[in-house]
Amino acid sequence: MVRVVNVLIALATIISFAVLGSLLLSVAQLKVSVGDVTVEAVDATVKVQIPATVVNGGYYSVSDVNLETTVKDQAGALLAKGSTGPVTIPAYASRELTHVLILDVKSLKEEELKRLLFNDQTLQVEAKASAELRPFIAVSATALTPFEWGAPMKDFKVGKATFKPYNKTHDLVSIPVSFRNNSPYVSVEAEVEAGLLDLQGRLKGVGTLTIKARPKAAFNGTLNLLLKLSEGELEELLFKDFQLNYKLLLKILHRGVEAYSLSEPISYPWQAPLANLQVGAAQLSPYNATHLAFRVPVSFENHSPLIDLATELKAIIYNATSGLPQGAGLLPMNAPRRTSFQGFLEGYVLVPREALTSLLFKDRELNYRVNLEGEYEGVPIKLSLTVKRDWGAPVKDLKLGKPEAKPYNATHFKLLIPMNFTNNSDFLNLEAKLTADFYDLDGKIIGVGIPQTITVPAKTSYQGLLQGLISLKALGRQYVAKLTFETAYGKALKEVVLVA
Amino acid sequence: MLKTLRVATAIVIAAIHFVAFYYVPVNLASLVARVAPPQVAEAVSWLTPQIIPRTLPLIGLIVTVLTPAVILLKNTKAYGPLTTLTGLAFTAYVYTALQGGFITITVPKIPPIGLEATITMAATALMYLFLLPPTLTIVKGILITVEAVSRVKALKGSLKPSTTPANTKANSYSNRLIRNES
Repeated sequence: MVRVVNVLIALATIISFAVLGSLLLSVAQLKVSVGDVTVEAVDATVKVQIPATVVNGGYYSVSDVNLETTVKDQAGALLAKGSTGPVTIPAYASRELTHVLILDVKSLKEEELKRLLFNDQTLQVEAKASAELRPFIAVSATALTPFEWGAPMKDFKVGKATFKPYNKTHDLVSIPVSFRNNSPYVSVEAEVEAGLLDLQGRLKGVGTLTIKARPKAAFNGTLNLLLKLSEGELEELLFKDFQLNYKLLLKILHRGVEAYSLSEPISYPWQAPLANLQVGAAQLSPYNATHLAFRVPVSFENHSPLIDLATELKAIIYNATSGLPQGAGLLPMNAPRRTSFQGFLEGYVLVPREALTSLLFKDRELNYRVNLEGEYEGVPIKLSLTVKRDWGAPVKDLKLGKPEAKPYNATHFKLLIPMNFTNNSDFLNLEAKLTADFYDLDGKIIGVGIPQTITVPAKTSYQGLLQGLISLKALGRQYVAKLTFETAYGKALKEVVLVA
Repeated sequence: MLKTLRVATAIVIAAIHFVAFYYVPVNLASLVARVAPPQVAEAVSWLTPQIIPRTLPLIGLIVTVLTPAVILLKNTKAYGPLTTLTGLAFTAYVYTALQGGFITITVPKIPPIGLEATITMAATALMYLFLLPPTLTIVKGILITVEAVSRVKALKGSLKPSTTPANTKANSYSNRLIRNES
């Protein structure tokens, strides 16, 4: 019996060591080679594929091969997961395996995605692997390794916005955007859709920006948005300095799918290119028989740090009372950024013939409305100015003195009537042909004046004699002298009652 | 001559067992360090305490003592019990060496990558296979002991006191045999 046991012991020992030997040899002939890791992005998922070839040259089939990997961020949130298996690799066989690790951006919470995009951090990669050399050994391993994650959009900065007029309805808002792709593995290629909201949350402007950054490269770009403006807002922007406050909404799209969104307050101290617009008193001067030259000093300050204003505004000059057009002009403007401008609106206005009589003899105030229109780089500039001008009458305070009658012939006396007036105009020299007709109170002509030409410089007084021949019948009676001043601009009439 | 051969065998076996079951487990790290590259030596230095339990060398020492004793005390009363004890010692050695069938190795943090790993090997089937020879040795020891005891009992039963010359002669032979056995 003992001998039988001895034989069994010997057999068991031989078998045990044979099994151990075969196991060790099998393990020694098990080879795993890992191929090139590829990173593929499809929609909002990132696939990390790790190909591997397992060559089982041993005597046992390697069964239940499982590999599970998880990637967690610094806060312990699960970012990516992948699993392979169970796979059986028969003895003397090889097998190609691909371990796929999937990062689904959509499944991440906002905070997790924010950390991943913008913060460098240490990720924890956990791998759980198991395999069996049946029926003797089952091996399972858990490996935990830190993985230094470089944020693909590290130091993402939305810089200071600048606002610039763009066209008739829009402002161009330029916002510098910069970041650094700190990742050594991931290339950043995305679209940024931007919206500009006013303080009431209304969408006022949109823009897009394509961002591309190779691994370990910096990105600097400018996000341009077109900000829709109402006419009133545009006018305000031209003339007033004020603080512009908006909310910038950025959506980072990866292959058309929103990956992340963020909002930033945008504040910009707008400095008007036509601030403190001042319009001086209009200067008038004779031009021709129909027009007066019109010159108005205009000044403003170009507060803008961006706009070099160089344009020409066309003016249409209206009678402020009647609303009828009276003339036209030009205002050339050249105001580089942060400079003051002083210039003149120059043009010509019609001499108002219909009011010539009134204008010739009475001081008054001329009121004009000047509408200026032009554009600067496609942006319309519209101004409406009120221009006032004190008009001094060229024949002010016309007075005829006591007539002196001298016999002239059998039917007529010669009249000598002292006449004085002041040319109150500050620019107009009076040059007129003065004629007179004398009528009795019934309207019958009783005499004529001797035409004379008078010249009275501006701001001077005139004293002279109006001479005429009057019928003897009119002597001692009241009569009316109808004086006609015929100027280059037209005729003006003045009636004076006299006693001869 | 036979005794001399047995003593020599016992010494050789003792030496082999001492080296295999005591010296190597105790000095594994330093032995590897002599022949292997530094990285391997370092790995073995942290691996050794995990794959060689503290009690293993002690059990190995017991095995080293018991195996030559079995050889030296063959055909004596102690042979069976010593064989059983040796089987038990080997059983304990295998069980301890394979840590009950579940060997867990914790890889300390490896700079610079900072990898930490835990490897668990379930080798119960292998352990049972390796437990088979010592278990059979225990059985063998028990069988030897039982056989020896039953033989002695049988001899004692057949040699009751007798006045006949033949019985007297048989008794004296039996007593001599028992002495030799012991």
